[in-house]
Amino acid sequence: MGKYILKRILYLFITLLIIITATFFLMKRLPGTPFDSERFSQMPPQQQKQLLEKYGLDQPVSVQYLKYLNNLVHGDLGVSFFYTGRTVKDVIFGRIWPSVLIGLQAVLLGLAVGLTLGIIAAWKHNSGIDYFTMVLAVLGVSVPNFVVAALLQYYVGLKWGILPVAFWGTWAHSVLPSIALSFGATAMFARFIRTEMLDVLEQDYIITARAKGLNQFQVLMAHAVRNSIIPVVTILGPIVVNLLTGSLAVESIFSVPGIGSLFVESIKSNDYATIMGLTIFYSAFYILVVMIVDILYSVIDPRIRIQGNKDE
Amino acid sequence: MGKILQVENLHVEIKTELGRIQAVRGVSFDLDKKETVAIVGESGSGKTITVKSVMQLLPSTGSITEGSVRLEGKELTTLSEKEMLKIRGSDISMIFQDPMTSLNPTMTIGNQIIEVLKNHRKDLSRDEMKRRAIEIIDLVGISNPETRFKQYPHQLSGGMRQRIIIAIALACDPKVLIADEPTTALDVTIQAQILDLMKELQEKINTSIIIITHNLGVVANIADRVYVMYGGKIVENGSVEDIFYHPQHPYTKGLLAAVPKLHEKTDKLFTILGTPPDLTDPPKGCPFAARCSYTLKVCRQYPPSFTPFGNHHESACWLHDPRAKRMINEVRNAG
Repeated sequence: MGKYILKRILYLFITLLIIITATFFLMKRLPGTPFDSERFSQMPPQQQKQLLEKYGLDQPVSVQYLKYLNNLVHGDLGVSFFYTGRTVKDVIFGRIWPSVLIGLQAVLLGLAVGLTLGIIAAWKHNSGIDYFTMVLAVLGVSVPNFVVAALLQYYVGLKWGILPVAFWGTWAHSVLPSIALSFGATAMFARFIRTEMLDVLEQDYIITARAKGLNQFQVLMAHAVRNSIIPVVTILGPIVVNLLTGSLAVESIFSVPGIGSLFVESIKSNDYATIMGLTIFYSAFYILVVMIVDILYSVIDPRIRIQGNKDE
Repeated sequence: MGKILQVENLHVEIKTELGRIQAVRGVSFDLDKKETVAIVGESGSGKTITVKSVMQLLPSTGSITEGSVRLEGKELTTLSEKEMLKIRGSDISMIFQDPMTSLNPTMTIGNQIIEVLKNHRKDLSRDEMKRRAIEIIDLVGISNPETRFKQYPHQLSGGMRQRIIIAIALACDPKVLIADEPTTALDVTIQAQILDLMKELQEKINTSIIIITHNLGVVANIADRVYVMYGGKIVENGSVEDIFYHPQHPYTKGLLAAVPKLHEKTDKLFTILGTPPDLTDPPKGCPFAARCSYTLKVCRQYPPSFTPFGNHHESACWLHDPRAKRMINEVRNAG
């Protein structure tokens, strides 16, 4: 197990290097520089040159790349071009917590509601709740979260006035964005566990369990759910990453100062250092979550053996 | 000896999109203490549905429409689901055909055995349950029971898994053990071991066994009495000797003729031509009439009743009717 994790961490760094390289050169191919404002073009050439020199932008791209890597190894993500005087680390950590809070709440809400609905739907196959779940699943996949967000704002925020419509401040501000964000995930979780569970409920070991004299609830909890959860774990990885790293649409609608909107702003302003920093952050987070999910598999299903495990 | 299980005039229907399948149509059988009874028949004859209705483990689309099932005189068909839970796995337990799929792949062997004890032996402490589970793994002839206790099903061979399934079934010393084709999915050598194990354990814990099979070799090996099922009905029953040496029903005779014999050299196996009847619209008369070589007009019109042949051997066929015999003689004499 230890050997396996070490190997995965090695792969993580190789993957990151490839992503950094690709992003770096692609980004440099974007038209313009971080200094495309009118103020920059009105500067005397001497001053322009000084500015480019200060940030190392006068050097060939390959040299810039190597310098960036060197800094990165020393834990330095550089200084933001847009937020003058602030390091990229500062900028990212200043914006990350709202996204993480909303994302985490959305994942937990999605899991709780989605799994419960999916399990009941499979158990009561072809009943009212089953049809309800399927309708919800189709809606969840096809209705974009900004539509849900707008509806929530209008009814819950404006008409009924239960929760704040937008902006960031107290925990109450995080509720509506979390619900809007969780909608799609809820539908996915419900659909995946329902499908898998319908299959599992037909398995021979379910009859064995019933023949033992277990009641329906025991059969469901002890035998059906655990065997149905693998596909959910598979999609859990990407969903967690997507939700935790912030959704641009939801963050914009609720004016949440999150990381999703930061990414878009940094690209618009050619803020090289911030783009790179966020890319590395996103990728590393994604790869880590996928790795955790892979390890989770073997915890849930003993048949999935991890390489380097000498049990079998 | 008192009857431990009595099934009378059992009718089971299963709803499907094609209509109601009358899977079991008036089946009666009984089981003595410590007796082993085999129910024999081809696929779709209703044997599995029959025993599943005894346990009330029918699929949600199936229901018992008529008849009674009595365990030591106690009617089971009218019991609530809650009361049935106490009987399943404790008084009556069941083992299934395919050991590869009948165990939960994500639960240890030990926990799968303990689960039964938790439900039916609430007097035992957690430690006693563990001890009992290890004891019973040992009882079904698996070495290193402590190690096996912690293992998962995929770490065991098919034969061992079937032993574990038997261990689960016998954990609470059931009065009746139902075995639904317990050896079909196993290698021939393992089959014999499993049958021997079942016989040995039957002696030890005084249980009665109903074994479902289409393998007549298994029947000869383990059963005291045999019920032959066809088209949702029992067509003949009797002791193993009577069924093997003095079969009366044409279907039973056909089944026996279809068993390959070691000492005879033949190119072709005997087969019963045709297919079993469609039970969404079962035949009015004898279910076997369409495939029988001796069909009479009456066979298609009216169901035959049982004719006794002594020693609890009976067969349901119109050929046993004295009128049929008289007629056959007349035809022969005339010819």
